[in-house]
Amino acid sequence: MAEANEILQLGIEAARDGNREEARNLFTLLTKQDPQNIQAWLWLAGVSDNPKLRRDALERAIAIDPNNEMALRGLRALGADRPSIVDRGRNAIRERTGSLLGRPSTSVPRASATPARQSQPAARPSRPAPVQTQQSTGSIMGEEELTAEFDAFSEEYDDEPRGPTPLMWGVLGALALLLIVFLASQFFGTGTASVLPANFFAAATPTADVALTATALATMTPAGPPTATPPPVMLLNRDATLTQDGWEYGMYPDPTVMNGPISLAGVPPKGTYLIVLVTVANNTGKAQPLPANFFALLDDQGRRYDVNEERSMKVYDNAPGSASDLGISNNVEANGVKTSIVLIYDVNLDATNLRLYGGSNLSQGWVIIDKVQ
Amino acid sequence: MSDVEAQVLLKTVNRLYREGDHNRARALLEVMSAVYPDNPKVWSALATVAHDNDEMTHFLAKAADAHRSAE
Repeated sequence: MAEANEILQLGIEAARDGNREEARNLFTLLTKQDPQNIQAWLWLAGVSDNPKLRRDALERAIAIDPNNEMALRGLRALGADRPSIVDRGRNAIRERTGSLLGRPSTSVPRASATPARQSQPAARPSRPAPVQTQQSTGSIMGEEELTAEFDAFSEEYDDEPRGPTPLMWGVLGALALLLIVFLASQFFGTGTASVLPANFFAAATPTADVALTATALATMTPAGPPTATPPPVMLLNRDATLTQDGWEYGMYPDPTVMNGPISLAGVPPKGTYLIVLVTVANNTGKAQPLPANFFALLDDQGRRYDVNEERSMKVYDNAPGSASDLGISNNVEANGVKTSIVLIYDVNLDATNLRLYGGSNLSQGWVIIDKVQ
Repeated sequence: MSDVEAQVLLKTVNRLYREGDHNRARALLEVMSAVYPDNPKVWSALATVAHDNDEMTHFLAKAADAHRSAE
């Protein structure tokens, strides 16, 4: 599968760049997508910091191909002898794939036999190395290169001490002492370092179904120059809702926030489109659309963004009721039922800390996205 | 997928996108959507690399479905 090969390649590049966590996630994703992808298991073993995870990954590789030289070599490096390795492989087969015993190996065909490597230089997995492009055999890497990686992996592991050395204990002790001193200064000191941010509790306190009795009904000011001092803001949890003028409103739980310089209905954005799902419930007693510019975004640069109604409706009209229950210009029934509406904003690429506000209430909002790019 | 794993992978997607590697960003998202079809963020991100409006709407709908099923 082309996507799988792309991801394997991405993982290999990440590993070579030293991004082991990213590489681990990519290889893990691959193994979940295709548990028979032996290269994904081998690479996952190579970038795992945890010996148990390494062993598990290698055992999965053995389960797929009991004679896989690199998996055997890796397990030997972890201290397993050949019979136990084979047993582990067989057990893994029984446990995870049921009746695969006796079936031909499902591993990718090898382009060549593994050359004997008596003394491979200790190249770490992150070292730059040429990578073969995908072969017709389905193999991403050369056998030799994979072997080299595992030699490096084995040597790296063999070099690892099995427990803290006295020096490490000393360093750990010093770190613990520093931590204690730091904590003590935070609790007992009089410095300003212990002062919590003004919004700390506001952001952390559950605010579900917060009801506002806002009386300031002035409409939001149109886009203008950056304000010198943005108003204090209470940041709301995702599930919080507010009310104003008979409208209950909130963000969609676990918000759908996207950005990218894609065109909508053939129209490119000035910056980038941001797509936000909101929920509203009409308790005004009259079916009607949301008031114009009810929802707005503000960024840390002091800019205000109003919803692009035309683009929002085009997205909605493309498949009514699919992306959201209603479009921004549609009438919302006055039945108090939460209804989702898709909103499209065109925001600047340098915008940071974009927050969503509703009605005329600029004192409470939801953080949509930390930064666009 | 745990949220942590998803977040890390979505960061990879964003990096690829910023670097202009849209094909691999999409390839990664397609596999993520196959493995974790209930993750709305994956579908949402796919919408950003959609080839056309129909496809984007489809991905948005999947995201909305995932949201609803999570509720």
